[in-house]
Amino acid sequence: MSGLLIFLFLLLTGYLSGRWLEQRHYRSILAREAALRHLLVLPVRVPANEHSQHDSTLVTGSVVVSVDYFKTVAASLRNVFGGRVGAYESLLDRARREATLRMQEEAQQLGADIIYNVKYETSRIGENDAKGLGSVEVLAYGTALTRPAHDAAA
Amino acid sequence: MMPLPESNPQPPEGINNRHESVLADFLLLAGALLALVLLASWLIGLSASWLGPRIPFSWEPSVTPETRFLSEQDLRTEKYLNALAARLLQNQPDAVPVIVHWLPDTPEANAAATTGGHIVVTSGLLGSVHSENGLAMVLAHEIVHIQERHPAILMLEQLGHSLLYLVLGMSDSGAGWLAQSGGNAALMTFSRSMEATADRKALQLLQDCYGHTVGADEFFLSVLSDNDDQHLQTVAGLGGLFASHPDTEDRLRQITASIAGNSGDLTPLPAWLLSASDQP
Amino acid sequence: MLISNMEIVPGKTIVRHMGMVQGSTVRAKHVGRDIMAGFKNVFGGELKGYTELLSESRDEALQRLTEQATAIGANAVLNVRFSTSSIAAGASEIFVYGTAVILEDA
Repeated sequence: MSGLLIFLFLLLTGYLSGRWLEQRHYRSILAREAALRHLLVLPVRVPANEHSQHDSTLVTGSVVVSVDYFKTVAASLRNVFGGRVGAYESLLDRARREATLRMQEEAQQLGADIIYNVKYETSRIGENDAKGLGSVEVLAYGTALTRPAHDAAA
Repeated sequence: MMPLPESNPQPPEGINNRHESVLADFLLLAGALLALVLLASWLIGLSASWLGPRIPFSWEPSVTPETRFLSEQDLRTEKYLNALAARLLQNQPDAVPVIVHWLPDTPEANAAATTGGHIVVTSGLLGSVHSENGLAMVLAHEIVHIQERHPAILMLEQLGHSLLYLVLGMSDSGAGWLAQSGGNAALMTFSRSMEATADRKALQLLQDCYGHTVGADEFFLSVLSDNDDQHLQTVAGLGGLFASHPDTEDRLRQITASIAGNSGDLTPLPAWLLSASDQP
Repeated sequence: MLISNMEIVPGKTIVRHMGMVQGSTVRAKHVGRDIMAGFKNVFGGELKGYTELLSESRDEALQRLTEQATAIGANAVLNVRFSTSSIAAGASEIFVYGTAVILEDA
């Protein structure tokens, strides 16, 4: 009986806090994305002519996001029946956009105009194979192109 | 070379993060899992109770209590209990052999049947009955468990359940916990019906042995009056690993119904036994 | 919608770059498939169930990529890259991203 209560308590706590954190994260993501929209992020490898004289720097952004208890249980249920694991999709979407934003923020500090050749790396950390997802790390990296100093002065 | 856009695109939300009704999905899946587990438990229960009695008794693993120090008095008590068990079974020619083990210095009143035809009786049990009839009822209850092969059935059921969880492959996830709770609830229902059978047939054994069933309720009354919320644990189990929690009051009601309209004299417990077991 | 992992498409010109678009999905196979996969790990051979799972996921990820590209008015996605990661036991994520562009016949 007490096991059931603990389970329900964890589930409810996980659901409420997870939802609250997720909504808050999305609000922050949307606001920062709007602010950084001018800083282009492209998977393109070859820079455009207008950037041919720029300096290039590797920029990265990474984030580790944890699941909540509700998501873990929902996903383990999905694992029995198969199908799309909706609970994890928003998690990965958040992680990827957050990583991109952090990469953009780094590029902005460098005064970059654009980020080329953006790539992503996703990995699971914190839990062993037998268990569900513990947390997920997303790394975004690319090359930021900055207008050369002498050029800017000119 | 190529015209670049003014800014990063803003595709609509909800393509890579569809916020489908996560909660409804969760409830649906949890319900389906529970239904699946209950159905599987029911099937396991059915096949275990079919198969259990068909397994040769000699195949049952012999689960006996650990070696313990028995004084002269303890040995005498054990002998007496075995004699009582034999007397209860005297009219049952097909009965499987039963061995009673005495567990001294155990204050909680308990008796349990294990596979291999072993019954363990704790010293605390003597404090909760007033007559031989009351003791015989508890003993008869465990004897019926063994005659009905309940320990073997339970063992098969538990095996079936562990296989089920293995197949579902989620022993330590939340879903695994949910499945196991469902399975345990099903097991509990099964063991409840076993307890009811054991009570019914034990009363019959008492009737055959003493000619009446007066005194059969002594142990249950004592458990209730203990005002202890601990549930009764006279259970067919694997070395006490498994304890069902049948409703004592319900069981008592059944037993009282059988005693009603029944009259007879209580057989007292031997005086030497009482003097030795008086410590609470 | 044209999807390619080249930077340019022969016979077409890129009229306009639209920026990055992405599609991702997480999927799990049901228990039956997982058990079959367990058996296969003993005998070897192709895990048809998982091949199917991953290609279904890839289709869905591509479809989401296309959805994003269509929504921002592109008619092709170039330089497309796939990445697969095992997110939890029995569940994996497919992520695909590329550059949305407007192509025109040269």
